[in-house]
Amino acid sequence: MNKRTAMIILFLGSFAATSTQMLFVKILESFLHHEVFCYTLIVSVSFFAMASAAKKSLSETRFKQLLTIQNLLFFLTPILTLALYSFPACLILRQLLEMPGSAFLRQEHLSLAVPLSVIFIFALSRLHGAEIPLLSQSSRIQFGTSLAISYIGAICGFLLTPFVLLPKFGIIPTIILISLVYFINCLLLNFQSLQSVFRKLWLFSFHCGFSILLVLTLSHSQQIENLQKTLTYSNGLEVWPEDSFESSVAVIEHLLSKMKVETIESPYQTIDLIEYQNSPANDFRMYLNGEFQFGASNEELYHQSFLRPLRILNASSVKQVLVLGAGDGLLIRDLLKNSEVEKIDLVELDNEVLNLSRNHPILKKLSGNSLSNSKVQVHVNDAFEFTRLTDRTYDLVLIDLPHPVSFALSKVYSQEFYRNIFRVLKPTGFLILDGPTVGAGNIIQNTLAAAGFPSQVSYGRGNTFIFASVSQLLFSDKQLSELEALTPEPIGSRINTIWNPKLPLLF
Amino acid sequence: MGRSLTLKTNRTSQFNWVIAFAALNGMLSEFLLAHLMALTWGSIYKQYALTMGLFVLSMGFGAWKFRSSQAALRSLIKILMASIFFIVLAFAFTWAHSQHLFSENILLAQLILILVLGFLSGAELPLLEQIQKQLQPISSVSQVLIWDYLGMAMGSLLFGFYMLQAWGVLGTLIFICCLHIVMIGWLLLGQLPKGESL
Repeated sequence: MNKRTAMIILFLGSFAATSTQMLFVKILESFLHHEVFCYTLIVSVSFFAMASAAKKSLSETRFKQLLTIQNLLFFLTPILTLALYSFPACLILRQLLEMPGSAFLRQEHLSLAVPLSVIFIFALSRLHGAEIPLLSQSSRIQFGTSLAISYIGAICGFLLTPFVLLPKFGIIPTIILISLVYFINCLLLNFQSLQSVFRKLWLFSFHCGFSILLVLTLSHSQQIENLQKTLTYSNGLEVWPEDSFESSVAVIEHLLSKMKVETIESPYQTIDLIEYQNSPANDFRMYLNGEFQFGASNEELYHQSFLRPLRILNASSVKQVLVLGAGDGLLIRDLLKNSEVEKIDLVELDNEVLNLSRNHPILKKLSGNSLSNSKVQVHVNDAFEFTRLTDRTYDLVLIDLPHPVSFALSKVYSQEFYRNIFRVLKPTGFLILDGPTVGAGNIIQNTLAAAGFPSQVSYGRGNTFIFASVSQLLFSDKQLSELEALTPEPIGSRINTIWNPKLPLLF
Repeated sequence: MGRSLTLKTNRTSQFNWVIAFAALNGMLSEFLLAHLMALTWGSIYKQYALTMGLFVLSMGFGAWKFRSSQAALRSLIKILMASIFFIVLAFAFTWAHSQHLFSENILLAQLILILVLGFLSGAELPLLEQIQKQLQPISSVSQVLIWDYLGMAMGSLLFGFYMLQAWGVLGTLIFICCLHIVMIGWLLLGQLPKGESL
């Protein structure tokens, strides 16, 4: 094989393989919400597969094997990636057909994505792993040079996939694009001359037919992604009639008539807004990266519980308030009911969430357009950075940030972050935060103590909110019972820092 | 400087492990740098991708620059020593930034350190392959790749599943430095005495 062709194949193959890895990380992360785990799992399985492939290629015939590998990569990459992406929706669909009205996808079901992705990425990486030594041997490219080309292909995959392809096109078009890259490699290897096209006409037709199928999928990708989301978000909801469905099409038609999914891709997250019609009551829900944020049917109760200490303490001294997160404006709406509050600084990282609160008809109505109130000053900034750099001080800090399901979010539950909060609070000030996952409460309380907060109280149904003050707490027994505060449990010694994250819990 | 160092032949059987440990170290360093970027700038998905992309790019340059070296062993030892210095420097910059001691151009400093460490890490594999050839002239590229991939796979698994959760960033950094020192020691102790050659 000539060196130039081999180098192009090496570059494109490396780009496509890395992009496939990044896609698998993204898809797996959307199920498990644990980026570091997903990254390291996919990368390690890929390397194990590549090691096993490199070993096997020692004793194989070269060029023929290379052809088979390219053909397999072209066919298997879209099929396996789409299978992983759509398996939760397929599970729900199957459940609905078998037992109408009872579709419920649990975390155990989603955890199936782990073995599935391990098997799929192992298969694809094993094929790719055999490419480098085979191409190296077939074309006699120097080892260092072939490594360099494959690294350059990899950087294109690492940078283009998360920064350009996924944000601009979405998951399905990116899968198709990667497959088409493999298609080019197949053409380069299989059909190096016009004569070879005629010699392998059946293979050429098959390749072209499969490519046309991929392009057709591409033209319907928006509808497919919408359907996928509709099925996933119907999970566990009572939007189903008792009668059984005759076919998958009937299920899908019923769903599309009852649910409307709207997706907004921001630079930081995927925002999904779902309208449910004719469920127990019409509902409207917001999900960030697939994590439930609020439902219109019960959000008021939640936000009132959040602010319950203000009512119980009769805190008339609360005039300056800092709100971290809560860009939907719902917490601000309830906070503004407190007439003593003079100024609210709202810090929200994602401008798209703020735009929705201001402009989306349902959300604007729900929040009472609270962000436009003259007392509210909006800062589009990272909560950690804002509290690190601000010179202002506050009577109250409300923290309504996503739960620490990943190392990235663990940063805003760290000792360093709480030290920043302690610094911006006045001596009589206090903070309230929405407590996170089961089993993490003690770690958060330890972390608050390590950051300087002398004592804390967790309260609310399920012990989900934490109240901490700069000075000693002044709650009476009556107030504690009104708060539904729980008796403090024995606290261990684990604290969460940005250098030594303790909060993220594996599923 | 002029003399080319060579390993003793009785080190041949253990040399595959050196390849694996070098890859493990490279992978751990890459993930650690990615995590330091994510700690400073948020978004693990994007910062890991950015770091891995830049790291792999500079690895390509490193691999190309050292594709044929006259003094492979000496270069490798120097590269391992330099890697310890730069990985500690990367941590120091991020730590200083978090402590308000250093704010200017932190991103630039981090990106340069990723490129430098990637370059050094990329240079290791061709050098290891050349040393392997000195020890076993009939050894193949695949042999080196297998141990390299296995080392990277182990590094990746260890980082995400154990080190970051059990030891944190600082513990992982100390482990990386210790492993570098062990490798340097092994290579230095395994040299042929002055004047001898294979």
